[in-house]
Amino acid sequence: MTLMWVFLAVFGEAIAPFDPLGVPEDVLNRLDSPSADHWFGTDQLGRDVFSRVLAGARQALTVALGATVLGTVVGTLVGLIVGYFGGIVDDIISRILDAFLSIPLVITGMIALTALGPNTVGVVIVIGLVFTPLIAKTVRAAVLAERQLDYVSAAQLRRENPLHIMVVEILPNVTNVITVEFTVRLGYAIFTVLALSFLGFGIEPSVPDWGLAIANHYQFLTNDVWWPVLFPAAAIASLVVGINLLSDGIAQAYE
Amino acid sequence: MNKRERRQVDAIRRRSNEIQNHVIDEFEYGKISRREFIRKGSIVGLTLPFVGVIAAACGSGDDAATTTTLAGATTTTAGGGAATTTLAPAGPTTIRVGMNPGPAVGIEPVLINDEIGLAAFGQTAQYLVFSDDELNAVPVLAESWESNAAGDVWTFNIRPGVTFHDGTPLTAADVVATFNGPIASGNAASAYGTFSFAAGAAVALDDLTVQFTLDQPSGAFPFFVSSDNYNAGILPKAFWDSYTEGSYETGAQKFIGTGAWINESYDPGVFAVYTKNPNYWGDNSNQPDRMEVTFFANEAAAVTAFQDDQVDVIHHLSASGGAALIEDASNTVQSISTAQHRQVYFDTTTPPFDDKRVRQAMAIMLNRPLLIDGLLGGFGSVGNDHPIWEFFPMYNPGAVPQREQDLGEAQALLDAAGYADGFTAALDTLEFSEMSALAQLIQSTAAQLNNVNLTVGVHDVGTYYSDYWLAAQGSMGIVNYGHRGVPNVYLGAPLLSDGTWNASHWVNLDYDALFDQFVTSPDLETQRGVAGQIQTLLNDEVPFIVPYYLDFISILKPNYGGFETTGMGHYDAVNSGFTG
Repeated sequence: MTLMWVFLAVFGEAIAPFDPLGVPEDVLNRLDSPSADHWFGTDQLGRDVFSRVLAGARQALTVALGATVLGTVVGTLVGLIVGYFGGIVDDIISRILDAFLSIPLVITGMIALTALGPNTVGVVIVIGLVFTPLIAKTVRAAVLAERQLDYVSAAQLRRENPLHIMVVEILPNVTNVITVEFTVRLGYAIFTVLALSFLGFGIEPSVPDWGLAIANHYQFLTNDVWWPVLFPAAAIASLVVGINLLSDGIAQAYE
Repeated sequence: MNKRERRQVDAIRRRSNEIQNHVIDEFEYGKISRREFIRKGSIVGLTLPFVGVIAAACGSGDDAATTTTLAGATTTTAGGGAATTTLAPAGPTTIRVGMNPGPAVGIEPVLINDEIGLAAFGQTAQYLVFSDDELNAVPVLAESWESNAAGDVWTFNIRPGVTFHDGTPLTAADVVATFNGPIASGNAASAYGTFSFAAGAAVALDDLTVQFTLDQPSGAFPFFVSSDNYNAGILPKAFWDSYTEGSYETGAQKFIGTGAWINESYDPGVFAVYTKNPNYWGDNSNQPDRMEVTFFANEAAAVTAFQDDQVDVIHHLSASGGAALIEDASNTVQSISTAQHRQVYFDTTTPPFDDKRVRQAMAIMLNRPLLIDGLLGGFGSVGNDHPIWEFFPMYNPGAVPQREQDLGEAQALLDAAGYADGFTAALDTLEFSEMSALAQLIQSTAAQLNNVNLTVGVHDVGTYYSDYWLAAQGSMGIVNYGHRGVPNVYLGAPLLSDGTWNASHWVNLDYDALFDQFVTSPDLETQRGVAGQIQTLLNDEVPFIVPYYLDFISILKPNYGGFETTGMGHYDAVNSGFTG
């Protein structure tokens, strides 16, 4: 299922039957129910919902992937430093991370995006930085365990550079933790990206985005117009479930 | 006209001032229609009996006749015979009104700046004059009015026998306290600020006469003191003497007024209950006993409540959000044409929009009938890039042809302006009604030109007005302008070089001079001539696009009737009720 969405993220726009951004004249066909021409119906501007669901895969995956990569890289770096040096460095940085973690994720994202304004790069940076403390704490715990092992002590006795010890000696031994954390965070990132766009933060309105599509059309549910909401919601569910299954599979493989 | 009618008209002429006689001349010589004569006559202070006599003597019966009852004040809105709108009978009953959202700044006479707030305020408070849905100036707390020959001194005769809800009589002192009080100071964002006549302009000549001395002549002054100037609801002098912000909702004289409804309770922004005013000055014999008003958080909630039979009417809803109710043939759809419009403005001070050819290209690329059909469900009329609505009497129909879509011409204009390879610009608007959809359609239309990329930003109301509206730099924006009885507000604040709402940052001294001529025009013919020049100038310069004007739509249950609204959002449920 995840592979299917990855495929659609790459080729979705190319195989979509209509232009996901639509043309002005589409508006005359607004909120048409599913038909042979429009399998998933049309939205409030008459755009083809099926084409926008396909194109939306790229938006969801690229933004979430970018944010997760950023969060993983920065979080791993911070986790390595905190875990390796310990002591007062650990105390100070861990308390700062705890302070960040005490603020709800979506609230932090909303505040930051209000300040930055709506743009995709801003969403990637904000979610990436919001995930940094979570990943840093996980990596720190793994590094703390590794630091007690003999191979680290041996490297220190050889007076190797701390950066070399962290990156060359310890990092390869915590890769399994980072990989599992990455896939778990990817699922959360997708949810967070779509939650922020549902709330109207971060994504330009015309972009084919599943969260935004739900936000723009849930008001029509009372009018029996379910298709612009149901299909993007099903896409979100299938992608997030697929990534969670992938995460479980990777964790089991390492075990 | 027979001899008897001629004598009657001559007698009226002798009792009328120069401005009033000019209006009579325009009608007698066929320069204005019966409908325009009645409207213009009511503005310049011709009393309704006089208007009726002259209309009967000179008129040709060109307009259909209707009579509108407004909270006890009856006026004929078109000449000829009397075909009275039959309002639904009412017994001991409760009506339930749905509105959305809640009042933006509460029910606060000084600060009100939104449709819901003014509509709620208008249930308990009343105005000297009511600007009705056909642009007539209807006498309410002012029984009549007249101006001097120059049009810069206006005298209003206050209706005798009117009492506030606490039993104190309405006097000229209350009117003076209202106009010279807190609403006249530090209130630039509201309607009163835009009408801007000098503080202290109102003087009581006696207990029932108030005179306003203006800085400059104005033929439309009755609208300045009407419900269009929605902050100017007449409240007691004692209220203003002890006024503090919020005291209309919580003070000792909360929700006081002269209106047909007395407030029983108010849960801010959620629910309000009103009861019939037993001492109302007008005829409210058909008034329901009780009115419950629910403020919904959004349009979807209001629609659901209507479908669940929790309300009898939704005061105002959009064609898109209310489509399910509008398309349900069992409901009653009331729509009235209004001057409400969207302004798609450009920052005229920086590239690319400092070149008017680029602005013209953006205007000419739009398919306006498509926008009306697609976004408004047909409930609207096309605009022509100036805010003088076609139903304003001073609108000049021959001034400038209607702009129609021509993508080839739009691209040619961009080529000539040096933007053959396109440009990128921001287009910001607020989350309100169809405005986000309009922005996206402008974006997708622009994409049909060569490499013209608009980045759409949709913001909540507070963020938009604080961070984007007047701060546009090299970008475009879309803002909403509510209905007005006269276009003075539209032509002033958003367009004058020093206008407080000039989001385009457009500076044009020729326009400033035309505006002065427009507001001081002594008669309709002169004003129409100036309006034509304004229409032509704005259509050519395009500081903003006016793509369309919106109808005001209300939805009523099939067994409920008599609920009247205006384009601005005021509503009158006094003569509403149920049938069957």
